Amino acid sequence: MGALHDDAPVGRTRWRRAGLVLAPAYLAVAGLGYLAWSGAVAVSFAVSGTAFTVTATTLRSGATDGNNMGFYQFGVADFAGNGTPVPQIESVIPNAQLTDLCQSVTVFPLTLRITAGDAGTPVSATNLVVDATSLNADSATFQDIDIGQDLGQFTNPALTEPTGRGSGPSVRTGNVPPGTFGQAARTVTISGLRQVANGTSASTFTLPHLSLAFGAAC
Amino acid sequence: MLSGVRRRGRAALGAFRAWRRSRPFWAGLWTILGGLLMAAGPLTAIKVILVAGTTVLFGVLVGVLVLAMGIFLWFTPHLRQVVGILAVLFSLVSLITSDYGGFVVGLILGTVGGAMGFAWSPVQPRASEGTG
Repeated sequence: MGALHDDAPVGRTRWRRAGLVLAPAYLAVAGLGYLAWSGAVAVSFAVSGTAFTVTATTLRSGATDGNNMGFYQFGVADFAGNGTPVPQIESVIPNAQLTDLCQSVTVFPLTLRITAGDAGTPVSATNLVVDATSLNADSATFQDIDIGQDLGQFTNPALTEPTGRGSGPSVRTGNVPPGTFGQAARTVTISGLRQVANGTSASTFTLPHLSLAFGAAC
Repeated sequence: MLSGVRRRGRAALGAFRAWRRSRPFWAGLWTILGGLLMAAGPLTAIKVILVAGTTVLFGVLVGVLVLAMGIFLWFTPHLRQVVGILAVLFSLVSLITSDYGGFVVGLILGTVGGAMGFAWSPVQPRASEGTG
């Protein structure tokens, strides 16, 4: 059978040697998992699409940012691959506290479910960005909201939006230009938060009482 | 005619088999799949990359790095030990940057693939007894 490639070099995996790498690697995973569970390490999370669900009982904006604001909402023109602008409403919350956060992803036939912030200490999210058209909520309360606020005047930190065609990482971004219509508020409280189909959200989370298991969708 | 086609097909299969057995093929494959899974989550959120910026980009970047390590395992098998360790380390980083390391599955594939790449070694051609 092997006449064709008798002289080809052949190799095999030395499993004991592989174990020598895997053992410390999974110790490190366990360590990182513990740090995330205790809320000491923040992890990034960004998803979109029908396979993903994100829910929370309450979302409360925390400390205000350099502009003394805790919530921004504005329209941006996202650019499709062929250069067509696609209007979108983005909400940006610099600091947010979420209770009973639940994130799940369904890849047939399994659903992986991640919960956190359900044991007293809320999840805190930094620079939470949510595609507002995709959010459902039972109620939302704002304090000191300015509707029709010129979002271009915020420089501390500056808000950014796409400025050129292309998709994904190849899109150039720049500061929101002066005169951009939007709204900003000092605080926001949202209850019964649920991201619906094809919603998009991204943030860096600390996840106290993190739990990860196979189970039902959120 | 038909036998000619069949012979050529068998020759191609044999060449692929020789190529596959002369490098940490499965290690590279698991690593590539792991990298794809890590990048997949953040990539779906490409719409908000525009606003959320670097954290989402990092998630994609780490997945692409793991994927690249898998490709290196295939095409530069003599570097397998360094590349394998790097694949394991980048996979660990993905836990923090890339949606819990591609919802843990990508993390497992990337670490197993990297460790297998590290542990792969050629055996003497004469001593081959037709394993795997």
